[in-house]
Amino acid sequence: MRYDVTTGPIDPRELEVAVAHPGAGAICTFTGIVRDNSRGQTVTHLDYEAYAEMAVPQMRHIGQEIKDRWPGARVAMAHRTGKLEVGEVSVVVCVSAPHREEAIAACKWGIDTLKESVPIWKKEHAADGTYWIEGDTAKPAS
Amino acid sequence: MAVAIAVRVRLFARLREQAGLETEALEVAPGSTLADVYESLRRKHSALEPDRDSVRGAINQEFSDWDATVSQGDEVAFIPPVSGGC
Repeated sequence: MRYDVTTGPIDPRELEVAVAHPGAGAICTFTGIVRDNSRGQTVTHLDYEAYAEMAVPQMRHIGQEIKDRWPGARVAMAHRTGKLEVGEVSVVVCVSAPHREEAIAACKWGIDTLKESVPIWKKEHAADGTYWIEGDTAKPAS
Repeated sequence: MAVAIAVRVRLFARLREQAGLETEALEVAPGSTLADVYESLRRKHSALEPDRDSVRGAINQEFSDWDATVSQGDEVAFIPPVSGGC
């Protein structure tokens, strides 16, 4: 199992290799990409900030829960921090399982839960200003 | 009994910008809760978010309730709503 918070580029293929094994007939990979728009505004770039000492253990909790809920699953997750340009990979959640149903369901649950509970924040630099994104809310940044 | 205990406070994202610092060594009374630590911090940094309901606390990298008691040497973090992913 592999859980990373990193300032460097993330290669989804490396996570797929980390979860692959002969008993896994399916690998589902979610790749999050920096989008060029948000709230109807043009986004120039993002800054991600993490509480890394807590984010990695939180990812490990999620991975453990996936293994409990979907026996046989293997999990890898990585989130990037620092300045990211449009089109760059911000997050990858990768799950292998014996069959596709478990792999897809576990991967979806993994990214949804990561977005709720892993202490990482996005600062959006957009045409109308700079905002901290907090859940579904954008709050002006200093 | 100790007169005060020392905790290390960490702030992130919007809270970090409001307070103008990432980390602070804070002395609080023995038996203080996470809520007490936050209010103590707010007395020093008045720009810090007044609505505690929008913030979560963590002790030693684990989410904790506001009425959880802190101990000498704990790392206490205040966490605004998270927004990882894309």
